[in-house]
Amino acid sequence: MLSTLRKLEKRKKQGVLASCISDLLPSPNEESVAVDAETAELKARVFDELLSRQGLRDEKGEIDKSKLLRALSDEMGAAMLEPSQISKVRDRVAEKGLLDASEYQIVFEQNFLSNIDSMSVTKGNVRSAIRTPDALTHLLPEDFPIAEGSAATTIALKRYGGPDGHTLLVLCRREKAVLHVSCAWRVFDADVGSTEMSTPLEVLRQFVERFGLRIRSGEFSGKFLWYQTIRTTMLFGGTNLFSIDEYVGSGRRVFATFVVHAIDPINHAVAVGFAIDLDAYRDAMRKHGFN
Amino acid sequence: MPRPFLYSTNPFIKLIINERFRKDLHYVWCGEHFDSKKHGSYSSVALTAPSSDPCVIYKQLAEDVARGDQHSAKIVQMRASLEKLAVTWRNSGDITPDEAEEIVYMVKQAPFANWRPLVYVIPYSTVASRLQLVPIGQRASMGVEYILPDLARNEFDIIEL
Repeated sequence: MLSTLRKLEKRKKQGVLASCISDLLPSPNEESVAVDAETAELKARVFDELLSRQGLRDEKGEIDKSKLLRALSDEMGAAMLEPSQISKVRDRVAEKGLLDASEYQIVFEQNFLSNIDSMSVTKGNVRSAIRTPDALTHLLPEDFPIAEGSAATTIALKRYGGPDGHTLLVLCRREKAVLHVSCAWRVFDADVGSTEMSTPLEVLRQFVERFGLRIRSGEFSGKFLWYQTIRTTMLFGGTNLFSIDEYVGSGRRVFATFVVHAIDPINHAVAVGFAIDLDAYRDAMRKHGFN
Repeated sequence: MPRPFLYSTNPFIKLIINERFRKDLHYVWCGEHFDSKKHGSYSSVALTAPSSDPCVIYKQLAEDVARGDQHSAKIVQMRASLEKLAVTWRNSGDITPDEAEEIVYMVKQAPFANWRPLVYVIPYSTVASRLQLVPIGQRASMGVEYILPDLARNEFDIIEL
């Protein structure tokens, strides 16, 4: 931290640095920063202090504006982000879905690990899809009645080309800077229709439409619940919030994922909910060469 | 006679920041020509300075991003500009103190891909009444430049070359 700024109040420090930066931006620059006499004096001292450092002038003694700007940017970073606050800021950025994909911690949910073989994916496949996705979307409707950390979701897509080209779809629950992997599926156009122009959410819908089972809860009957508030029948003695609403032969395996929060005894907010016919999915994967 | 389109080059991260923190209103500098070098040397368009030319900015930024240039003067400049804007917007009450911190965190941590350039293509007729002509003293050259302080996302298209 520059000694000129050390004793200044935080906002004053940031204002001085903002004004110094503004002076160095070439036209066209951005919105201007108002400067009073005291700030002008402080700015002059900031520039003097920075330029007394080695390496901010070239061999001819000319000021290297880019290096000076970088030094000011570094000072601004330090003035804005106190070390003790950085992880909190990072969590807020993460919850908004604005953190770079590479910065999220990946955690595999137990339900996913128990079914990973049936999904014909590996942990490495999933990490790759999240770290270097072809498409990635963070979702949480603003009007959804559940707090961000409990109901935010992230969908990552990784496209594989070639004759057996398909899309790997990964669905995660997002909690601050952690992505909890709920499930991952290989999605073939031959199974679900063209996905080339589809958004991650549309690919998930297409997949659930093809391999999902009908589910029922109270007034809801369908295959896919996505950020909906539903009236349920839990009040009448039911124990399971959802039931499969079609015939499933004995021994058939089902993968279900629900992120649900009770608003009151009757109304439930469902971030995501669907049930996949694992055997039908496995049959399709075998046809595509995945055992 | 005005041209049918205006052009502005901005990094991807700036688009996201304006979208998420500024209610999808974008503060842009723009010009009537994408590439001033494509115009005759006796045209006033040729007076546009490289630092104001959307094509030059695009190429420079794209090259720095492709090379992963840790010392890119363009990226340093844009990063510093966004940090400064975070303070300005917070002081004017456009964003909260928390949001200003989040913007600074994002630009500090942004991977190179988030600095990739985008060209905003803005139909002149939709924004004509809000265009602010940059006074010649503030321009980098004699070329005509405009400021649009409140460009809505549905008023421009984005292309990547």
